[in-house]
Amino acid sequence: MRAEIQNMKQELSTISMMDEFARYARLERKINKMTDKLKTHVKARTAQLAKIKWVINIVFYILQAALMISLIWKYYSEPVTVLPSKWLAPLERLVAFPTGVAGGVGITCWLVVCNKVVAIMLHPFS
Amino acid sequence: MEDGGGAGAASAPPGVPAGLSASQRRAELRRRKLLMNSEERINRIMGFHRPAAGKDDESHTESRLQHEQDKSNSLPIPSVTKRIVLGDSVCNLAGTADHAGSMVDLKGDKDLFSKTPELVNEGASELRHRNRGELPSEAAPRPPRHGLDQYLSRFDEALKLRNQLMNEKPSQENGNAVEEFDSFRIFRLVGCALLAIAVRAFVCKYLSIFAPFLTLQLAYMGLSKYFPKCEKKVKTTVLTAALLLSGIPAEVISRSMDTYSKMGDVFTDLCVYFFTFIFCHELILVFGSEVP
Repeated sequence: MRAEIQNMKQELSTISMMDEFARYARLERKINKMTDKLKTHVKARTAQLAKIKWVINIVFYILQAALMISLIWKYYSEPVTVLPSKWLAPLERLVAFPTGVAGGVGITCWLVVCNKVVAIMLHPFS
Repeated sequence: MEDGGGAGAASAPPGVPAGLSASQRRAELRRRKLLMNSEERINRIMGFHRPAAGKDDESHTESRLQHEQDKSNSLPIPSVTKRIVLGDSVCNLAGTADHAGSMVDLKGDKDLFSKTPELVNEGASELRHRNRGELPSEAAPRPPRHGLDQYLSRFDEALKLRNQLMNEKPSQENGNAVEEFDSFRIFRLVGCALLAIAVRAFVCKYLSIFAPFLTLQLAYMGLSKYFPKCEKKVKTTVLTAALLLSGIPAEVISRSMDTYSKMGDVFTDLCVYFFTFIFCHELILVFGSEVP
């Protein structure tokens, strides 16, 4: 359609406005109509692409959330690693949540940290 | 309402070449006028009326008019007269308001934004035309107009902030990939990672691991003055626009956004620091013989 419009525009440039006004006007109207049609098509396609992207994003987020919840569910009582509790003072309880092990690093805290670090690492590529 | 045909003989309009005689000038004007109105005529023939065309076509028509003006580079009067002949004053104003409302969602269309006052003025002038003309009963009622003015004044404020942000953007867009990772940010992240390694190696036996981190953050607060001021890319989201339109001053919003972003930075640093620390700890446990 774009090529067609280009062709018509080229044709329009060859027509003398003074001598062949009727033909010129007709062609111009045709170009306008075609341009409108093209715009509608482009709009529709863009909307469709955006929709697909949105759906993919949503699915990805749902999967991620499901994975995290399942990990937390499975390992809620096991610390990822255990450090001496005085190293983590005064946040040892927060870091150990939900394991309750003194000095442990809970899965929740670790997932949050990993998420952030991965996001930082992937940032230059996104 | 001046149609330009008669005026052409008296004085040369902007787009018409100066060297022509009066009759040639008139012919040229008539020809251009016909060309400008061709689309209007085809719309009439095909049954597209202005109100039925809907508000969606408003911006489209605007852009086309702009295009036509650019193309012919002259005769701005016919386009205005076309609006007056075809458009209904109330409908046009509503279209303007709708235009303004939809613009909140539009991204970065600076030209479109800068057009808004013109559009409003145009609407007002059309109203004036109508009031003097044959159809005074179609003029917009007073109270909605007042509400519209209030809305537009708020919208202007939102536009100012947006334009301000847009002006800041080009300086940042020089390096697209490094847009957010400015030198200070990279320095912070690297510093946090190095500190975590040092803390794991030497300090953690004597001190909580968060104490050196806090000291480092204090140092960063002092050091930030010596780094080139790279303004954070403030996200002009719908939320920002909504807050602005709800009457919260732009300064308060920008300040709270600034605080929020600083907190975010500290949290990012903490995550990197903690991750590196645990990573080093695990490496030492695997390869070394040290027992904590």
